[in-house]
Amino acid sequence: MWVGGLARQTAQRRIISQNNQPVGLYGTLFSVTTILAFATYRPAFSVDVAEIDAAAGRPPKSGHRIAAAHDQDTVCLGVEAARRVLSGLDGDPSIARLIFATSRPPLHDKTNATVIHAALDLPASVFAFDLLGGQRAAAAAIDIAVSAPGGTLVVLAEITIGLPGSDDEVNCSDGAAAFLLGDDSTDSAVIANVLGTSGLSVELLERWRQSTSLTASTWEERFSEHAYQGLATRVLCDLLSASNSLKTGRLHVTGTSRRTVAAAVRELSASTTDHGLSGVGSAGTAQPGFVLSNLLATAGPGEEHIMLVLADGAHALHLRTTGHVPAQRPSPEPTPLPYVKYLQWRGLLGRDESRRPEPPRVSAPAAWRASTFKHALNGGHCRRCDHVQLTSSSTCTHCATHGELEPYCFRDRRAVIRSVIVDRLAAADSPPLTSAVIDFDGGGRLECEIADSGTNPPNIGDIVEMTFRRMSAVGGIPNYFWKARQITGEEV
Amino acid sequence: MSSRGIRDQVAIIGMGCTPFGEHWDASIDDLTARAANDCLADAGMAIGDVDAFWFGTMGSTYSGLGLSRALRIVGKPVTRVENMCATGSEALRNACYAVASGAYDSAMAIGAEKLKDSGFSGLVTPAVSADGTAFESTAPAAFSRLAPAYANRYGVTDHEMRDVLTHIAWKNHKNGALNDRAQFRSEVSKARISNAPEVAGGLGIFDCSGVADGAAAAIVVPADQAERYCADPLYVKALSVVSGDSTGLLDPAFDFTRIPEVEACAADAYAQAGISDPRRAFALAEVHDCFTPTELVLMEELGFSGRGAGWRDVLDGAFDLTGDLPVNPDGGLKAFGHPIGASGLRMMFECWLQLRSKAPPERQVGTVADGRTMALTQNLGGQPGACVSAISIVGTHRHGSSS
Repeated sequence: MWVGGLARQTAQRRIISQNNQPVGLYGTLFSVTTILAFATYRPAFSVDVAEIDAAAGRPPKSGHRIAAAHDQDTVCLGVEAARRVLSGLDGDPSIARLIFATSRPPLHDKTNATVIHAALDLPASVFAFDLLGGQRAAAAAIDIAVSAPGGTLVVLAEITIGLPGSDDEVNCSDGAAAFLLGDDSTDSAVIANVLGTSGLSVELLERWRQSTSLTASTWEERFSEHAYQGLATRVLCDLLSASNSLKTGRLHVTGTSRRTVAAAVRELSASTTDHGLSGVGSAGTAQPGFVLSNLLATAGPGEEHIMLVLADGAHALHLRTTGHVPAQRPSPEPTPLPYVKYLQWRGLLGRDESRRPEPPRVSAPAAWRASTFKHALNGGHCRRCDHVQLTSSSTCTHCATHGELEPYCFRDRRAVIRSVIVDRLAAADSPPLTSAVIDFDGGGRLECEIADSGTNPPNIGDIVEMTFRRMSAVGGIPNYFWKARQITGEEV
Repeated sequence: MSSRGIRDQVAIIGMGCTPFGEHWDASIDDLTARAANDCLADAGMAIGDVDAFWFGTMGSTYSGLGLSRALRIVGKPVTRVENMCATGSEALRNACYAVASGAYDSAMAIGAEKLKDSGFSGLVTPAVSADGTAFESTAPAAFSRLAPAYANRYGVTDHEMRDVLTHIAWKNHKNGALNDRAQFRSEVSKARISNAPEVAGGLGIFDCSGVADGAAAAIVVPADQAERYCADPLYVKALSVVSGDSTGLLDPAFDFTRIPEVEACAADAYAQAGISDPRRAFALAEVHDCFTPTELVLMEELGFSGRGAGWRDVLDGAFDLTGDLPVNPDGGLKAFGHPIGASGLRMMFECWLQLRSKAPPERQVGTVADGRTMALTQNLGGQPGACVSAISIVGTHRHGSSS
């Protein structure tokens, strides 16, 4: 437990002892910035660490590695987390910008956040942009959200890939988190008030990856531990001198290196670290999001918390929680994923291709024209005959009237399976492909692929919801559309 | 709807059909040339005697040049047509209408497909530029939806349904074993069919038609000119095509137990041909058994069985070679494979043989000797919920004629 008085003295002592060094600290104080919503998304699959250990020829350990599905990239994960944020809100939120942070963007030279923006059907006036660079990018996204006027939807997503048997493979995870920050502190739905942020920058080679490389490299962690020594204290002292408000609170430390985080925890007598959060490994860029979500989900009214991110420097976020915690959607039990399949999904192991043609490359003009259907899953409601339908066609399926369909959103509607087929002939990234015809609550039908079905396909009559997936990537173009996934257990 | 048809205005006076199968040594041009030349020889005509050509291919070549190049046709119109699996029937329909209109004294309908050069398993739909949202079921997956839906609607058990599908596959392979043009010429035991590896949605490998190359052709002339060329022509009674509105995959009201495009197509064709009792009207029917459940549902859509009664008729052997209405006596798509552009005309070739009692004795249907004079061919392109249906009806007797 890092309690205000003692810690503050420690911090002050630290900053006094370093007064002679130019450290490039910057600090902000925004008493009106609030966190209005948060959500996390964990993909459906998990690999048994013992399988990895067996393949690596070492004694088996217990544990699981959370893994994104073969048809999910960081954009897909981000969409799921962001959807959960928006679905928990009453009314249309005021959003000025959407920031998507990841170290593994599906595309370069093109904004990936605009895909999330389109999937959420946000107004064009929302400025969507990407931030790249691991946990540092997550801290930056939050810092911008705190600093900039208007509401900000922060989306943090990561798919971590390590070489077979490596630490990254075993001790990391995939996932996404999203937050809505606003400047309306009078809103009764406020979850936390941001009291201040502070950050500093340090250039060092701790962890890096070329854009053409699947996996990252790291320097010896003992070096990082040394280089980071004192940084946490400095950024905290700056933060607290600016906000001048910490009475009693908890400090939560996350960062690129487990060893560095552990050292900072010792240095500051901090309460929690990120690694080992709920027994799940670090999700890279999304990890600060999981740490922040975890503290928000468990905090009581009037508590102060600081989240410290140690990545290419340090960043601290200081907030006071209100005790208002919106209900979070439960995560289903992960589906066991065979290690070989996991390696194939990540491109670390080849597989025999089916004798089927690859799907055609997406047409940019066609995708642009159909964006509201393709990305936001808007169908139509016929003004003439009141029929709802899930199609990009402008002619009513019921009365054949042209041009009378108004947008009707199916994205968050549940559906029931009317027909389900396991197709062993179809070309699939992870055969066999399971397809279904699903009928939506309130009308409308779609023939689509079933996602996350593992080895247990759903049955006729099962309930599904829609999930945003990458259908293919022909010609270097990720083709995003929606699939259905069965909901079970508490989700129902 | 006014669909008057051209009953007995046009007649088929010659046909040709290549063996269907893996023609590794033949190009699409070779296949079309073989079918066309066999057809010309059958009609006793030369290529220069044919006034116009309708050439059906799904995607093996493009434009009329695909045929005029292969046959070295000079100075004649060649129209390439494509209507999915109904392509061959569509070529015949257009050729017949052209002759019926009086525009030409003769026309050739020819359909061909060269599937085995692609190296792919199953059928491949030509790609079009699109937004990437279309879910493209494989054909077996799409058609497999029929079986459980039908079973559920009519209270057929899984075991009974398996027996029905097995019987259809067994029957068609048994018929094909007697046909030297078929791709597969072996009988297959019911046990082997039932226990075959699954392809999609409960359909095993023997529930699916094969992938083959092939070509077939017909020459049509005005009916009143037919006997100048041929002592026993086949008169065209009806030609119908119905293209669905594709709402079955968008509308929860569609339950996958039916193929309404076929029902509408059959009603149109029967009206054109003046048929009121289809079960007893035909000596044989060549239907689109792309997958075994398709043939089951078609028996009801074509009016051969009552709703919900088709499965029992199948098990009773009503559609066997010796049944009261032989269905796919040549072996069907099951034994022939499905070179898309050729299949409709291949079906017609079987009618050409059977109605004129020219089929080999071991598979000549007895219904012709019993006095039935008409036959039906039916094609289905697309999938349940969104498809094209074609039906052609021909007969040996011309209405109102002594012949």
